[in-house]
Amino acid sequence: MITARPRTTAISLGELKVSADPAAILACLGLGSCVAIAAYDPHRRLAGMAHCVLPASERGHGEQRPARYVDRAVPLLVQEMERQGSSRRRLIIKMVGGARVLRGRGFESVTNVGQQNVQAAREAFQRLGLKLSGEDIGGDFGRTVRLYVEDGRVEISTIQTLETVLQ
Amino acid sequence: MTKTQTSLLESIIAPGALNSIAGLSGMLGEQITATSVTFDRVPIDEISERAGGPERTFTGVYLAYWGSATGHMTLLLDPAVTSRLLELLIGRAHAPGTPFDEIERSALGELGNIVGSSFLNSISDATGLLLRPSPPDVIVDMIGAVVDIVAADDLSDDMQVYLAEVRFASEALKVEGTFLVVPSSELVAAISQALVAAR
Repeated sequence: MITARPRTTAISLGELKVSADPAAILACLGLGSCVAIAAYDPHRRLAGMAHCVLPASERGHGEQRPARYVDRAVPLLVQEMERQGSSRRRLIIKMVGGARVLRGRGFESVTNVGQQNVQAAREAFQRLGLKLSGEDIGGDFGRTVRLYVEDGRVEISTIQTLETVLQ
Repeated sequence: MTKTQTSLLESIIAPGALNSIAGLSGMLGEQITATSVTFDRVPIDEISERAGGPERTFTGVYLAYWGSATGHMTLLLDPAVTSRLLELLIGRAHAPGTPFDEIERSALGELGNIVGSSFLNSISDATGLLLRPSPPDVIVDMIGAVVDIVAADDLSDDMQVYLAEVRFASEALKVEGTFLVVPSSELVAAISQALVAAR
């Protein structure tokens, strides 16, 4: 049997992508304070991921890349998954990132954007009635997250660890 | 911003970037050469791409700056170069894959301090702006995680940033690296105003 070679599609800052290609891998590379929101429909084998930078949009901002903001990215992700035939109740939602990379003296008072992103995502999940199935958040280190369209597997790597599967 | 405005800004920022490398040479006691200096407005993702992709591991000595304007500066060093620099600065190389101890962290922070302060002093001298650096923070991580610090500032809608990039090297010391400055729109406006006032 010939199997297709996996194709990695990198999702840049503020982007959102949905794929039904079983050979595709959606990836957010080198997340720091950003959060990746991953959604998977096992019935349709449809996967989507958003790379969010900030917790909330200000009015009139972010029209070019609305997924940059967590509060807009989560409903947009659900909407796009539904538009491509998924159902909200089938979605498996996972969240990765939200680190605080600056830990040194002098940065104690700098706003913890990572934590705010995580909180904004939790509030959005609640508003939309979504259940969070897995998360790998916080800490002071970067992460890469890969979502496999084939089976919905979410793998995380850091500079210290090779790929670990997020349950 | 017009090409003329960009090149006026470059006329202030590029010497600042070169001055930062002169600071580095002074600290290491050996001539370090700036192999390229660029100043552009680029999509924020390009910062990682230019450095070899968001997953590439670097030692980043990060400083913010405050005062008349705010912004970000990072000295990016390959892990092997970091080890070499530590050998030059404190007389012992760093063991790969282990965390930095207090002395190593302090030496790298001081390196960032010198480079960052030299840059800011040059900008202040040319424009009269008051700019002071934050304490340095030493990060070993994927470059993407460092870029997130910049991205967390509310960027313009098109997600583009001003980026001054100076690459440096010393054949004698066998070191090379990159110094990145991301001036906020606030600093760019303040420099433009200072240039107009000086005419």
